[in-house]
Amino acid sequence: MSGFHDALKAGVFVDEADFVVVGSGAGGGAAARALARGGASVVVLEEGPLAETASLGVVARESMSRLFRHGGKMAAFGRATLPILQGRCVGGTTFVNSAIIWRLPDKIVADWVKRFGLSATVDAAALERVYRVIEDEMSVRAVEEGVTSGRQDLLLRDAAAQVGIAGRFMHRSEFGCRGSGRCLHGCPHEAKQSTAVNHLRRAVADGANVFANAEVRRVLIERGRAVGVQGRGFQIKARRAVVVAASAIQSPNLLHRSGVRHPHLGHHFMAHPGTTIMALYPDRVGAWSGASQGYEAIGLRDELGIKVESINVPPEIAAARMPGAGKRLSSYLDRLDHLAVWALAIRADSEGRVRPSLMFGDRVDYQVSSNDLGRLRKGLKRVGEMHFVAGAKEIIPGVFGLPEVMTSPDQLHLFDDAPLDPRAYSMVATHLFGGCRAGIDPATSVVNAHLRVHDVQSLYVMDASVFPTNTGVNPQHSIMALSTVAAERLLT
Amino acid sequence: MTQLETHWADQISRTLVIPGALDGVIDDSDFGAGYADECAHSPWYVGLVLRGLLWLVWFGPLVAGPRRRTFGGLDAQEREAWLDRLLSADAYLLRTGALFLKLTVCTVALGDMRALKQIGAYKLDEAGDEETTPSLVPLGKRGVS
Repeated sequence: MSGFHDALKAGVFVDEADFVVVGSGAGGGAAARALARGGASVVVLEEGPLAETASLGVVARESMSRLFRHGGKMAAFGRATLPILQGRCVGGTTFVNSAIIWRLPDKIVADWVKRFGLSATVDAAALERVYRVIEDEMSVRAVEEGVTSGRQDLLLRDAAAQVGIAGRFMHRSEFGCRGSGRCLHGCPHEAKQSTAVNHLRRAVADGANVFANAEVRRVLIERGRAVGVQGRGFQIKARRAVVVAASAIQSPNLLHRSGVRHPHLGHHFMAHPGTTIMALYPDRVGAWSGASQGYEAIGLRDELGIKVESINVPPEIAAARMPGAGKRLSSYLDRLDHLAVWALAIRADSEGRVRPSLMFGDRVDYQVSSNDLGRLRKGLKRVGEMHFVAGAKEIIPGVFGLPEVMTSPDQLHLFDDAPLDPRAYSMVATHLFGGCRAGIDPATSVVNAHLRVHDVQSLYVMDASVFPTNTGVNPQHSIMALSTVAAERLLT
Repeated sequence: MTQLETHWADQISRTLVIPGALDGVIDDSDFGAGYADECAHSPWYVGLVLRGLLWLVWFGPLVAGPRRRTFGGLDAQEREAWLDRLLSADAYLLRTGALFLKLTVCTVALGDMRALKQIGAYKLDEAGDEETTPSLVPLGKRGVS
């Protein structure tokens, strides 16, 4: 009987399927949807829990402990520690992100086709068709002013217009968003169209089984062919193929644990490291009303490789970025509702590596380069300027070596001399790529243009780990589209 | 965490987030227990770091403070100054460790419905917000039930 099941309660009671999909996020959800729609029997295995909508809360440490990998305390290590946020629940990161939708930029498509020979999956006509279906099914729409926008979105819009930077309201996959600002906690109204709410329910309607709390330990490979998966207390045979969609960190590590060896496996790990500039305004901003992320300034993408977004970082976390302790911190906490937070995400050139670790489960080595930091500090200066233009009285740069608080645009020149050292910045990595990069050359890529692991029959990887470069835009939509195209091809 | 560490966590937390902050709505919270809970629910190595940070903050003034006393022996102003010093330390590990401790304390202290309501977050005071939008409506558009 198809449905959602909790492996801790019911066990994984299916022992065979046409396709076994490991992971239920953007890649796994979309692949499962496409495969089930095509009439195949599909089992989706998710290591995280199934979060009942009625049980979702608003306290960051509870939500993160329950829905994020390592309780939101995962990090990459280099000269600086870089926190990594990844969903770990049915729906994966789509359950806890802001549902921002971007198609893969044309320049990236052209680059992937030219340099990596990916025309089989990154096919313009196929992608266009799939994008349209996903955008229709997932109800993609722009944030509406006065309906789902918040004041900090409008401040960013007005500031971007005044300094001549192009921008737009976010395009999000939602149906019935009320602007509760709780995306990170999981949508309490099921308005956000995560794969848990949309793709997987559609797959289940087409006969799929989705198991929560079902961690896959390894893919079973016999005589060069993937024949199933093994997890804690279960084993499932895959009649046609195993689809690994466990993310840019867990997919390469799962392949490694399964005996796949390749000099590039786990390498070319990339991210969009991001930081924020917070600012205090004379009037109430109420950053936690409206869509969690409502507006984006996109005019710096070509010049600096940076996208600027309004974001309602949970108040508990924003509070920690406020200056000082005790009385000084308290004076800022009393003005939290006057706070606007704008994030900058860099399309970083830096590459790192992921590998399994006996102590930590997964180990990520990654360091933001000085070249990337050079672009970041230019972006920070521009965003600081935008805050002042919008009427902010104090900005909090969050850069060690600069004043904790700037009160005048005359101080913005200090960004020019901000250190090119990752230890000076408070950054977070959200969008992750690489580790199983795709390409037609088996010597330099882990999976081929159809996203099948070179030299292993019936083993596919369908998530951002196959992306040969990072994208500079929010990746959910491109992951879904590529996975759908690749999964549909498996049916033919 | 030991009882002693829980006591330290409470004292340090109350120096970071002083009584009266947010109009005093969280003054009666048990920050020490919250910190211990955070430790218990973190991966083992993070829990270890969180405990280590308590030791660093508590005994650091004995070595590097002006009065050679533990954190507990400092007055309120000195405690605040000590935390400020750690948060702005030149040494990256000290500074990042102090920030991580501050983050944990803030998530514990402000992770309270009274605090979130006081801040005006998430439309918590609006009536009817608990209703769930029927998610099968968009599915229905595609003929899936």
